[in-house]
Amino acid sequence: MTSGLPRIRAFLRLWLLTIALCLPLGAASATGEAMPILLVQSELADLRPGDVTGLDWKSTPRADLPGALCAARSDVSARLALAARKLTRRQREACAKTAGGRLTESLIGRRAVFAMTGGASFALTSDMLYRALASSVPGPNGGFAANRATRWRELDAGLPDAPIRILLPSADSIEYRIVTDIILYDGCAARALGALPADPVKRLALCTAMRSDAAVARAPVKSSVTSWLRSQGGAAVALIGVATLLAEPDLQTALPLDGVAPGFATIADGRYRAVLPVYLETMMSGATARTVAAIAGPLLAESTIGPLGRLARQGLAPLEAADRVKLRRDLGREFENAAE
Amino acid sequence: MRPSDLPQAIRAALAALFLLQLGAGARAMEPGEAVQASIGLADKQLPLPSGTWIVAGRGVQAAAGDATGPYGVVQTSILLLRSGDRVTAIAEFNTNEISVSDGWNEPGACEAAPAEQRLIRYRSRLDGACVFVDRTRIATIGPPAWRQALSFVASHDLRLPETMLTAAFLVHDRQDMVDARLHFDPAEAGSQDALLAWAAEFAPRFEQGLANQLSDPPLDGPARAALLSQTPSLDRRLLELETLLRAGTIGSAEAQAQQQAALTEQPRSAEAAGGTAAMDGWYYRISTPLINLVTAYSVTQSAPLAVAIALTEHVAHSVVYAATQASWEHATRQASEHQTPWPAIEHIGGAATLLAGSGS
Repeated sequence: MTSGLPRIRAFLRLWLLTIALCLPLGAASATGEAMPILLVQSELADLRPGDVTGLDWKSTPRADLPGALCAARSDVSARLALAARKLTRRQREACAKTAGGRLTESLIGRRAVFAMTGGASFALTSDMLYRALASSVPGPNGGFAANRATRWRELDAGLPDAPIRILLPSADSIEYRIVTDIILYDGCAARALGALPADPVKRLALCTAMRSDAAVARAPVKSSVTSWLRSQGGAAVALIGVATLLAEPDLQTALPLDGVAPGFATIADGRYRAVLPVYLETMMSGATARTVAAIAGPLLAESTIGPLGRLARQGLAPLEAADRVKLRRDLGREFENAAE
Repeated sequence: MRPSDLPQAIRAALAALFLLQLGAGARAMEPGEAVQASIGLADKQLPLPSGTWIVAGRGVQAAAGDATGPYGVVQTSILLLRSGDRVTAIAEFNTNEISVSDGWNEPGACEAAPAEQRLIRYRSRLDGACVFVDRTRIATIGPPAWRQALSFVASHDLRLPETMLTAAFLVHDRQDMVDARLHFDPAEAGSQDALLAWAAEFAPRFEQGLANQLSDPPLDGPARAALLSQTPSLDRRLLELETLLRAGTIGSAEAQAQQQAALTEQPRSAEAAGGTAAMDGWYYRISTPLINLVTAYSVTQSAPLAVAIALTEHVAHSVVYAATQASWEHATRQASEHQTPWPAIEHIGGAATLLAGSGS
């Protein structure tokens, strides 16, 4: 009798792990029919997590994420969210209180923007991109004036003497937000900190307003990005995400940004700035662990978050192989512990 | 009139015409043609990193005057990968036209490369595969195919880097050999260490191509691999383990254990681990005379006699050992020597290649 308990425990662990990693998602749907499941994604709609889980993920603005995920409802069988920012400590504590469980935040990948070139290789900085893309830039007198730069050489003597041609990601993508909120804002803050308004909303609006003349084009272009680059001359630059990079093998040359070449190491340690993390947030409790595992398992599978996975094709920059394996192992343990 | 009655020149011309007719069925790719994933050369598949490559030069390199191997000629193909008007990578492929039957002498280029810049994948009497990285000066010197490629570069207003980082892949089996060099713009290939790690991932493709078994999608070159994945074979293994798990072929504990094992599995060099062998050698050299001395003294109870016995045994043992080694080396050299030497191949940069990769 005494030897039976560990066996049952081991069996339960194995069973939970199997559920976490490979249970077909119909099971989750079936569970969902009985009790509602809260699935929320913030700013990551283009990843289309619903295609993987077979369930609907509600889109919500970043500010509303805690409210949507942590709604005080007792009939919810699982709560999961995909978000590009972590919740604050206060939000996590409040969430744990209202939702009844422990909030786990796991990095499952990243979104990144790469500056691909049509031929010429040159060093770009956030400041240069800001002065190439912004609709208004600081003039000699310190005030903002309409951006009239038409050639790269006007921005820096070391840049090619060629027309500025930049392809932007589609306006509804998170890559576009990386371009505006990170690259442009960094460049703007470095260039014109003293001239910017104190109000952060006005400051962001001023820094991230894009010009709309011939210097910029917006994806999706009619042809491929490769063809667009070829048609625009050697100094054209396309700001693209992982999905485009995977789809077009002829995109070979990524320019360094602020002196940092994009790569696994520089993205992971934060030196390459044009990146946003993607977190899976799960609310763990004994009652919901199995349902959460059944939904999270397929989301964390190699066929989802690996370089050959579905989310990579939607634009998720994968973690390194060892980190992906560790993520699945650690979360599997979390599910087991919560279920016990 | 019998054929033997024909004048020598006419017979030679007819023979040449006959041979030309035989070869007319295979269409050679012309400069300017675009290819992806792989190229066929002398009935072998040669893999290319992802992207659209352009055939820029083709040619043959005749066997050296003293070469006795019946491989006909070495076929050379040069392909370019471009970004706008910049050439970002060059593929330089060499392979034998006619298969031989008793293998090839081992190429010297890998041995000549510094140990930290090479990886001997496998090496036996009949086959071998190695990879090394080097730096190549992109000069005008090179085989006829390279001169053709340079004309292509000039006529299309393309720009070549002055030097490139080179990953060299030398593979041979009992029938065929491949000497492939992938040259990359240093701005995109990263460091030599990074390139060697990439080349170790890419090398199995040449072995599959030698056996005409290339079927997987092309791997990314070092520049794209740095953005997407530097461990493509590990990624595929993890995916395949997951597929086995989903199918119920293996259990979750087994899948986890195998995933963990996959993470730590590395392609080791087939070179002998010099450190251990050297330690063993020193151990035996010191311990054997010492044991002999102690044994001789315990039997004879005479120090001079014990020293004399130990020394005599040591000298006799050394002589026998040296003779055995010499005869073993002679035997292995003879056994691994083939009738066909590794072809003397002219590479891009020719003698101007900076380090050890000047070839064979």
